[in-house]
Amino acid sequence: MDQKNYKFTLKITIAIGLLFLLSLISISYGESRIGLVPSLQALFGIGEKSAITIVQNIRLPRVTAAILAGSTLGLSGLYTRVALKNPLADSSILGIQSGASVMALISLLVFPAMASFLPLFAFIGGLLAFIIVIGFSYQNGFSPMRLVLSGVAVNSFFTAVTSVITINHINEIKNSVQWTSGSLVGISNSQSQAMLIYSVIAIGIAALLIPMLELLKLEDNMLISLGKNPNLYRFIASVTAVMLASISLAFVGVIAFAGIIVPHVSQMLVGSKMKHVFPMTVVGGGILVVGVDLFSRIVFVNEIPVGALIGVLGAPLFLYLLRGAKHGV
Amino acid sequence: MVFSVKDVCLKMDGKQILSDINVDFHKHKFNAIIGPNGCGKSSLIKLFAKINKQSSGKILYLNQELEKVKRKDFAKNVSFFFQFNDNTADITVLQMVSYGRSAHKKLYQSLDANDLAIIEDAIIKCDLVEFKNRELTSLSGGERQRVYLAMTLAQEPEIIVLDEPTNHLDIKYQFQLLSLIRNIMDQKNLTIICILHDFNQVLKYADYTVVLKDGKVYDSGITSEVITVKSVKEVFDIDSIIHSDGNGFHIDFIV
Repeated sequence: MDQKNYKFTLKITIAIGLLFLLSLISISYGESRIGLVPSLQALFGIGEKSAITIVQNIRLPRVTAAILAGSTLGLSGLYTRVALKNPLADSSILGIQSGASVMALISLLVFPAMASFLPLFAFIGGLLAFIIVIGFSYQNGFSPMRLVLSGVAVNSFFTAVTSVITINHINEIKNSVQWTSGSLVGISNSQSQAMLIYSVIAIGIAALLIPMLELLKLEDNMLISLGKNPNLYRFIASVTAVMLASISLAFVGVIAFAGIIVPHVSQMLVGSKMKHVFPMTVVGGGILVVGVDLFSRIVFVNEIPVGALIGVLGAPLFLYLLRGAKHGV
Repeated sequence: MVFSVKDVCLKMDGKQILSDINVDFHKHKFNAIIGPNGCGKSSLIKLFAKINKQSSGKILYLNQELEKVKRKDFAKNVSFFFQFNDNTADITVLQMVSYGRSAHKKLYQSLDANDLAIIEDAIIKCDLVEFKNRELTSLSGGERQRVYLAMTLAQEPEIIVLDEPTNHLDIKYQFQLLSLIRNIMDQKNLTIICILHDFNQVLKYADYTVVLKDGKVYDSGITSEVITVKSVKEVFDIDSIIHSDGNGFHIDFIV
């Protein structure tokens, strides 16, 4: 027991260190390079004025948004994975993100003044898509394949609706094109602060549910024997997952597969105990998105949206897991 | 009576699973349920767990309507031992047994000294001391059944409902497990309701027996009166000889 806890502490410490280092490099790297130490100083308002402006108003918001997007999407994936007992269940596969984009776009068009409530609209859209997918795939339980197929169909539908809206209203919603492929470009300070508030609340709520998620890993009949209601637990965990994914979507757009990659790797590293895999997923999600964003900025001349690159990484893992999933539709 | 089943019918997906079930389960006794495959044994006990819901009729639990009993209160007295085949990784025997206590706990309540003593006792009773810190996935089928039984005991129920607990076990472990259940029952004055498929086990352990056939109660009552050459022939379509000696009854089949 102690041995295991010690190992976990070591791993999570290394992960936090890595996230910090990547974030710092990401902040220092860009058109105007600022050294690592001056970057760190600029974060605290020390040093050249221009450096402070760039770091605090452009790069810090971007890194913050990247970390939060990864953390919320990773956790969202962890919660759907446990709730639906399916490692393929990710907010993108289940149509949550595309459903959320449609509602977010509609809200931008109809209530442009309420942009700060975007995550709430996204949440409603995500919930709607999720309910449709669950409704179509439930038949004496969830077969992994049926769930994924229903998700693909619903996802295609909402993605198509997003395109129709975007093309018809291209002038009103300039950022929407970036949105569909998940981009960290142009995140402002106020946006990243709003995202931080939403994320802290959502991650906090998710953390409160850790004991529930731990029980949800048991068989349903076992939970019933213990006087618990597995479907109620499943519902609460799923709504939390939709909420987490909606936050990321509202600020940086669609990022597919992060909810598969992050929990999968985290579980490989620290095991499936919720109190270990939860923090690892929060930190690991940050590492993934910040790392991929930094990589893309260093390697490619034209900026590639982070969502697209994570898709490139995630698709093979998805296919690999699909092969191992139980068959039968 | 712990459970009284009154005129219960169960239809699932248009199929009649149980019809006109009228049967009582006796307090502080070992009640066996036996019947051919697909006769509705598991469906019947799933009604008690509210996993299935009867289409008509009612079930009384300690003389109150089962439907009106709260899930949480029910779990403090009644524990179910289904055919679990849990593959959850990273769960130790100790943790699994501890989950039994969660029937008495709120979600955020931690275990106190009393709980730990109960868990320890269940682990000792089921002979799991040496496995305590092993992961569940590393155990054999028989060992795992004992873990589930320990978890059930940690729940401190007065009634334990078991669905073929001996399934997939080697014969030695089948008798070991049933003897264990019977001993604990006698010690703690519990009530057992247990689906079994072996006649000799029923004759050896059960005080009362319910025989199901095609979703109906063929007969129920004191085991030695219910399990007869005639009933075995009519329900299972096989000839048999039932012997009686100082240790009770046992059955031989004529093939």
